[in-house]
Amino acid sequence: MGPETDEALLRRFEPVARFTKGDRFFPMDAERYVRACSLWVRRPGEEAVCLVPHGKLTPGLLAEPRRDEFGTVHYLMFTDPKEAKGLVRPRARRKALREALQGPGPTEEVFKAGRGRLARVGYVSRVMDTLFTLTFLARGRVPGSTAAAGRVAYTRILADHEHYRYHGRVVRQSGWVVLQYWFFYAFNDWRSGFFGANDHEADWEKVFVYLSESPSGEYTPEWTAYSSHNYAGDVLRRRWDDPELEKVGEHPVVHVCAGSHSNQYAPGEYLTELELSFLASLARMLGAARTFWRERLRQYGDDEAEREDGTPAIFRIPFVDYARGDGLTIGPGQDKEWTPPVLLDNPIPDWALHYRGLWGLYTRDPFEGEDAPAGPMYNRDGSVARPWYDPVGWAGLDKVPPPIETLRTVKEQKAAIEARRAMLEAEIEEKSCELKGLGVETVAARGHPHLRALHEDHRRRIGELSEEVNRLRASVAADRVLSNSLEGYAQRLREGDREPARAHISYAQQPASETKLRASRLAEVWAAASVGVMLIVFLWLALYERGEYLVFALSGSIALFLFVEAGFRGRLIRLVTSATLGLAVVAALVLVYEFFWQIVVVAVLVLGLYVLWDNLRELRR
Amino acid sequence: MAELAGSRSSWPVRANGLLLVLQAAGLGGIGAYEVYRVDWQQVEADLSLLPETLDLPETVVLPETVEGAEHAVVTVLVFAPPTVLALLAALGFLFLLRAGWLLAMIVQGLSLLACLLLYSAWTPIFIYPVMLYCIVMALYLNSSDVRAAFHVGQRTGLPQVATRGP
Repeated sequence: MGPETDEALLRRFEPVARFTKGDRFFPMDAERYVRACSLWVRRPGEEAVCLVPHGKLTPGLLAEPRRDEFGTVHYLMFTDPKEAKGLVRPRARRKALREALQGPGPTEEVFKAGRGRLARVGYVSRVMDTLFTLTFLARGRVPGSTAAAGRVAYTRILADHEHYRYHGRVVRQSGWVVLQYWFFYAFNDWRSGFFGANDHEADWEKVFVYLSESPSGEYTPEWTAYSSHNYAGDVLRRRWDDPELEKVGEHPVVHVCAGSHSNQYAPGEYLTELELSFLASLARMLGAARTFWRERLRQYGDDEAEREDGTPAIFRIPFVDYARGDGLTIGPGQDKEWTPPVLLDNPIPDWALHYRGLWGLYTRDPFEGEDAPAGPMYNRDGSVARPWYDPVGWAGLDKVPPPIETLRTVKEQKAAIEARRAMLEAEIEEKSCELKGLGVETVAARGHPHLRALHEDHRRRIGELSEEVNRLRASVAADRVLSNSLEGYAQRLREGDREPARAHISYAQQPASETKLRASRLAEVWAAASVGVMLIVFLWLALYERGEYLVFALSGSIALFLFVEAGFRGRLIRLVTSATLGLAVVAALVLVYEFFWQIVVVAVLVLGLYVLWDNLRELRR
Repeated sequence: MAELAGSRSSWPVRANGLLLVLQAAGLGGIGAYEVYRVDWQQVEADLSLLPETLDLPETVVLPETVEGAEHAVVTVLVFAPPTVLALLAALGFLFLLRAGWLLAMIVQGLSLLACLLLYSAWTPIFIYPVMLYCIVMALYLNSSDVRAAFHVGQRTGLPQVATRGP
């Protein structure tokens, strides 16, 4: 496929990107960004060294091969640290922005958070959030004024040449034609701008559209996949006829999350949760206890408190992704039109192919959240990224044939199963004959002491063979059922019946409901203040209360806090249940402590009586 | 208050109602027995011998009758709320009101709390069967089948998704 066709296809289905009011960075030309950067290298155990200073770097220079020792990290620096230092004060920031805004620039709309993220989650998550914030004191992070410096630098680029550009690539894989739209942002200001988890220079996001091609060369859009944080697989994918997928003509609509630039299908505010890896084992243990509670004891479990994999939700830090779609819209016929795209194929630009370093500041953050990402082709460690080499598998589409191939695939699969079944049946026949022969020989050998070894060997072989024949018969039976299912599926396909559009989604991200967002201001204030106030109250009680009253005072204040919290969150039933079950556990421990031997005696007695009853019942039959 | 719908769920409702009436009778009976076995005239006589002050020194040992009366009063005080609530919950079940389930759970919580308080104070023997009964009731009320019958805790809307990080 030639570059003209590629570009025409890309433009035909290019997405419409809706941003949130107050978002400051939009998809831009990566080459212009590179020209505004400096290039650095950090070798293990050494200070970072500037290889190419600001204003001197070109895409060609970036692509130059660089040999270095293991552990070396090459990275770009978009913001000038000296300039960033001067932008600590808001007044200086405003002045710098005014100077940069000579021409048209990004929107000056102000972001309003609305209901705070902390009001949407429970106590443990709020305490975890406080701890997470404290980790920034020890972790590497993007300095506070860097986002402002990034904004000034980006505004300068826009003032010089206003553009909204994506990088496009067309890939053919497994019968699909994949249109890749790569969006490059100069800065991810999720933390500093939108109360999110991280800030970092540079951000590569992507939207893929999957087309099927008819024999006459017609292209039909079938699926889309939007990048969202580190997700991969089915959860990213929506079928073209899915009502959740908004479209303007043939252009899918993307709701871009403010700051993080994660992509969503529906507008709204999404609760995104960060898992702390060092608490994973504790979370797993709690998950196992919860499973035992629900499945063995047949007790009710709160689904909201756990994730799709069954581990509890309490050890996650909540962040809100604002994908309101009420800001700038970029796309055909929208506020801003896309600037003609840069093609990432035929040939791959050198800067994309040869530069394996980071595209922004390297902060040495052990969690990597504050480090800049690598380019579209690579992971941070320099390995080739899956969305680049396997865009079909990245969205979980590798198990789905294009519609035009589906019926053929079903027929082929059915034929393969039938062939396998015939083979297995022949094998069963052969092994059955062998089995019968061995059986006859074994019977014949019985009663002849000199054939004892042969007899025993035959019996062993009969056992093994019998098991094998049984396994083969089970396979044949399963194949027969599968073959019938495939026939039914083929029939449905011939009748034009399709699977439900959302059958592949086991757990879809949904924006917060209107009811959740309509909580009172008081609830927000409570959520923001409660953890701090609770700690102060505990400290005060510990300092001024003594003896037996301390326990009562602490229990009373905890109960009061929990009651108010449950009231605000509409979870009084959950609180009552948890408190009662907690008391039941304590009471059960008291009973075990007081009557351990009696409980053992009663248990043994009950067991004995049961065995007696069961045996007597058998005798009566 | 929302009413329970459908006759399918009536069996656990009736069973719970009956068990709550039984619980109310048991708790009320314990309180009545504790009050009944106190010789109140003797208590009055013993109290008249004590100095008329509220702030008795710790060295003063209360007569056994006064201590018994004190225990009876405390028992009645801690068991009265769950007894009344158990009757209300049973009435709620009788009229098929969903709030009955919450009341029943509160009854178990209050009864267990009362038992644990008495256990930490003078450990009367009757708390053990009450504790056992309440534990079984709490687990029964929280069992998936009963909660499903009462439609308690059923949520609407799709769950949130978790990510590994940004």
